[in-house]
Amino acid sequence: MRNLFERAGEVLLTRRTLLKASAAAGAVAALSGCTREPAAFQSPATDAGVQTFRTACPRNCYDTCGQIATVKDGILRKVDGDPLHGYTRGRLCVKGYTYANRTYSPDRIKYPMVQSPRGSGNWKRVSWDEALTMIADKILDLKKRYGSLLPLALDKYSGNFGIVHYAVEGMLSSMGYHTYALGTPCWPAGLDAQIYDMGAFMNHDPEEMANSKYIIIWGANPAWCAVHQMDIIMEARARGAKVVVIDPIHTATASKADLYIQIKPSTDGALALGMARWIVDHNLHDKAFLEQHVKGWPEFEAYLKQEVTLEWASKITGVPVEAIVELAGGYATTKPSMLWMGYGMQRHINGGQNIRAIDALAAITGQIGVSGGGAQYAHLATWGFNYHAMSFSPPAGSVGLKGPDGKYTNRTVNMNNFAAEIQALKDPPVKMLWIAGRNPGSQDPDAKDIKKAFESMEMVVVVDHFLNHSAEMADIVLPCTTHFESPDVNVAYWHYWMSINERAIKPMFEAKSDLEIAWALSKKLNQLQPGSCTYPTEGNEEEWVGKEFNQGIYDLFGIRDWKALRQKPAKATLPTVSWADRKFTTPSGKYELYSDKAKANGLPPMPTYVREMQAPAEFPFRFLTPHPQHALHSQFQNIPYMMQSNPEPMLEIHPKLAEAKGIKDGDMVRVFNKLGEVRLRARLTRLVPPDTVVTYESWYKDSKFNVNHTVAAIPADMGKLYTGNNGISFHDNFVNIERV
Amino acid sequence: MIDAGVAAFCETRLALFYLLQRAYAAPMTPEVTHDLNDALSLYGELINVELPPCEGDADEAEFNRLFVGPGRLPAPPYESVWRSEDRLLMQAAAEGVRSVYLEYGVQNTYPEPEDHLALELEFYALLQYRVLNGEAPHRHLAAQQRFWTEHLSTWVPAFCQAVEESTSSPFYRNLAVASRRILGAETTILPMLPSAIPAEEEPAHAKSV
Amino acid sequence: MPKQLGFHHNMANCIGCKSCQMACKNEYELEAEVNWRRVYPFREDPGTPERNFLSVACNHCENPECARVCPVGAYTKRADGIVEQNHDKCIGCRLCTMACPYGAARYSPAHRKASKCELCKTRLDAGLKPACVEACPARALTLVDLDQFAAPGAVKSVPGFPNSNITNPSIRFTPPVVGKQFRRDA
Repeated sequence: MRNLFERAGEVLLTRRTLLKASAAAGAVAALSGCTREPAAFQSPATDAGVQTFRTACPRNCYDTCGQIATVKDGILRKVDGDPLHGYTRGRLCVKGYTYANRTYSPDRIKYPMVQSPRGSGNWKRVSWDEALTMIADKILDLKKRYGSLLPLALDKYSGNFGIVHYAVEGMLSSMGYHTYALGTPCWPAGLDAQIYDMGAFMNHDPEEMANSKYIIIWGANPAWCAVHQMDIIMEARARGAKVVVIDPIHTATASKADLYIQIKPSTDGALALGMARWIVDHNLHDKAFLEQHVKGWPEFEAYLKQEVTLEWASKITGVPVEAIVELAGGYATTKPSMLWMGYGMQRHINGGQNIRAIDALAAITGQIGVSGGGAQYAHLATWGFNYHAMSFSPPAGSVGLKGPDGKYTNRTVNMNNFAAEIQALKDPPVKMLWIAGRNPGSQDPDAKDIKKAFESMEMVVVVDHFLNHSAEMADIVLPCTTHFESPDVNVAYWHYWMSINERAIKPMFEAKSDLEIAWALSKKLNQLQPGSCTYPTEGNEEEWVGKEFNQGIYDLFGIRDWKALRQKPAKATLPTVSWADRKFTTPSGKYELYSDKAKANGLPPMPTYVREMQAPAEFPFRFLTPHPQHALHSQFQNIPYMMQSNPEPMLEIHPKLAEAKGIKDGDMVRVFNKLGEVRLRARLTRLVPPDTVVTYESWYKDSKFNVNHTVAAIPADMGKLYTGNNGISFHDNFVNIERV
Repeated sequence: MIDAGVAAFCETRLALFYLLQRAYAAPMTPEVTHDLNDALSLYGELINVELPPCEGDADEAEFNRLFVGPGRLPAPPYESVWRSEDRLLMQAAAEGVRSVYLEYGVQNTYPEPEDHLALELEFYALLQYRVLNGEAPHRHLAAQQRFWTEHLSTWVPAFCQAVEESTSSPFYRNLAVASRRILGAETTILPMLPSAIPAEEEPAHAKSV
Repeated sequence: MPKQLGFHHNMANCIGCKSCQMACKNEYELEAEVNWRRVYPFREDPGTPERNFLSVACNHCENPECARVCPVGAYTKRADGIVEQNHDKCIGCRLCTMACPYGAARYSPAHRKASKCELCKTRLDAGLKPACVEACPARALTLVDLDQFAAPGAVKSVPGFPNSNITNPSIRFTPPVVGKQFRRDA
């Protein structure tokens, strides 16, 4: 028997020792204690040995918070709000305060791993080189077999809205013409609606809400989803404003309202039209504004007078006539009055049309372009970056989809009908998926069909932090960094601020950012086949953040150099009141109550009422699945802080409905329709209406719970104009329920 | 001068901890299994465990499932995870271990936090090496005692228990049992060493690792 | 020097977002199970349902029960009214968790000790606000000196809050306001 010690030494010398001599072998404080015995709960805020970094929450959220990451000895200790961010003002939300908890989860994907067979749970660790080789081999193989990269499809959306993350799109483009998911499940119907009405969607500076005297929060729940707006609402209130909430669900926001109106889902247009009728009848419309700045008023007025009555509106919406009167009167006479439409309310087959009807109220009362007024929805005015990370073209000689002009392009599938369309594509079919910043396994409608779509692939690559429902079905998972580990820059679609995102800690394990993955994959592709990818093969991440800036951004934000953002976030010098000049960017240059463009696109030209989807007989209850409090879609709910605070999904069900179905508080309920089912525990409450059951969509740790087993990919009425595809009517979901 | 028998025993311990490091750092190979079994047999009845041959791919998959991911780890091999209520990385234990490494002039080159089991085991072995080859063996013995008391012993037994309970691989089950017993044996062994090893000693073996 | 620091909880503004609860955990790196501040949904009034919430940490009582029952004298009341704990002394007997009417003292099974909100005393010393107060986005939580505090309509207790005259908690509430509602199940 050879000397064991020698053999052990050999083992280590030929593999590796994990510990190497360190440069600084000096004296260090005595062995520190074991656990953080909370002997003195030292707040890192008062600890001299800490470093702070400016970071920015990159989630898809109105608030896009400025953050300060506190790091001690290379370890992220806590994350606070950046007091110098003028909108988020030093505060985060419940999710933001769990970031340290999330970053250091032992369940994070650490290394590239390969699952074989797919879905088996049999995972093998591979090196980045091996993973990239497998991926590159497959890409080159597909190119060879099909003559193009159209069999490779990208599904990416908003998991990380940092600008440099558009490297993913750039990476795909730099390999060839490919297939990608076009559209957005989020807000497109409303975007189109505002474009038809005003030519563009451009909300006021949200701080303007403090100047309003009558605020209608229509189908939005800032208490959970835009928490920083609450301070502004409270300010408005302190200045004497009245707050109205219109929502099918009695939300936490609704509980702060002076007036709460519980409306039947998807009937918002009828309510707005009823209000409009009342306003016109009482001569409270702004005739001068309508004459000078609005196209189509006579036609619309005729429609109101002929087709709209308060009784009609009341019947459709379930809102009593007296409430419509109070609402209309308050809105028309307590000026300036502001409308804020949320995204949830336009996720219906008539969502876009309903937004148009609500916009019309602002036009009729002459409150567009008015401080404290307007119809607020969204903007993208601060997003004029270079998108340098995305700016790489297919290699010369690449073949794609041939356009009418003879030029090649990418091929698109509808992001909002992904499963069906991906499987239906031919010539060539889709054989490979790249999924980043998206979790279709949890978030797409028709979860079963998504699974089938994945199963039909030859290779699925998922880039993510956790083994969620999409990663579970992947062949290869690649570990990506959190925003604390990679630099970036962030702006918002609601407020006007821009924040730098500094790298606060080193990447964990072997995680790479989407940008680093792009460089590495390009390097591998070019190794295997020179010239097969035009993406740079290396770079400096901080420099690439700098490359996103241009003079337009500098001028807009009044800064000379992007590095100034390290000292504080910057605010765009946009007018705080949009449309103040009343120069609408519609074809007529006016606000268009009558839109020829809408008509040309097969839509009603005016914000006339389009009937809401009716419940089929066998599935008589609507199943609303709005955004949760403790998560942002499938992010956050799975971590310890959230699982402790919110351990399981609950079905909010009205006591009348529960009684009719023999369901008691705490019973397990099966919620089902033709597509599938979910099971969850009942919570009896009058905070939801008797014909609607509600749960908040999310991904719970180790749970198969997914509302999208019941949600079909029903398109909303609009969205195609701005985003290429119509939105999804998530909330036109009809079910039946029974006690389990 | 170290007694030859004691030196041999210390070398066995050294090899054993290095080999354990290897067992938790990466999937096993037949050679390392063989060597580990040799080392274990030298411990005799104290451990009384033999490792079955490792099953190549199946055991590699099991190694990943238990210790690496990409899903929820039934037995995360990090001290922080076992000593923080929420199973989190980079807690005080990681910091504590890092300062110990710094004090001893070593740093981590493994893409894992400092309190990963493989690192802690290697460090423990390194201390044993310095006992055999360093100038102040009692200082290193004391450090080894402290590292065992303040770190390894505080979590590895519970970790091993979790491995035993969640694995159906005979290899990893036996490895966990062996690891637990080896750590447990230190309770008996560590106090004996100071009297068995002279205070100042010239290197018995000049190997550098 | 303030005489009795405490919280003013404006429930009329509170949206139950839990930023306060989580900001505290973030600040002190507490375990998931240990919540020094807790946001409770208010029991639903069947008459006029609302989503209302109560956010309670430690009330730094005038007569703290924790200090009274602690067998090792771990709790002391400072001149500014903060009831602080000498965590080293704690033996984990849990008497304080049982005696406190408000659930302020929280037991950690991992550390086998109890702990609670200390009104961010080190932050206050550094001129910062308590983490929870800083985090609140809805103007629902403020730090006040009860000796000088006066807000019209503020009360010492609300239904559902353990009203203990024995401890005299240093908290004042502005009760929630129920707005006008047009419901579909009226």
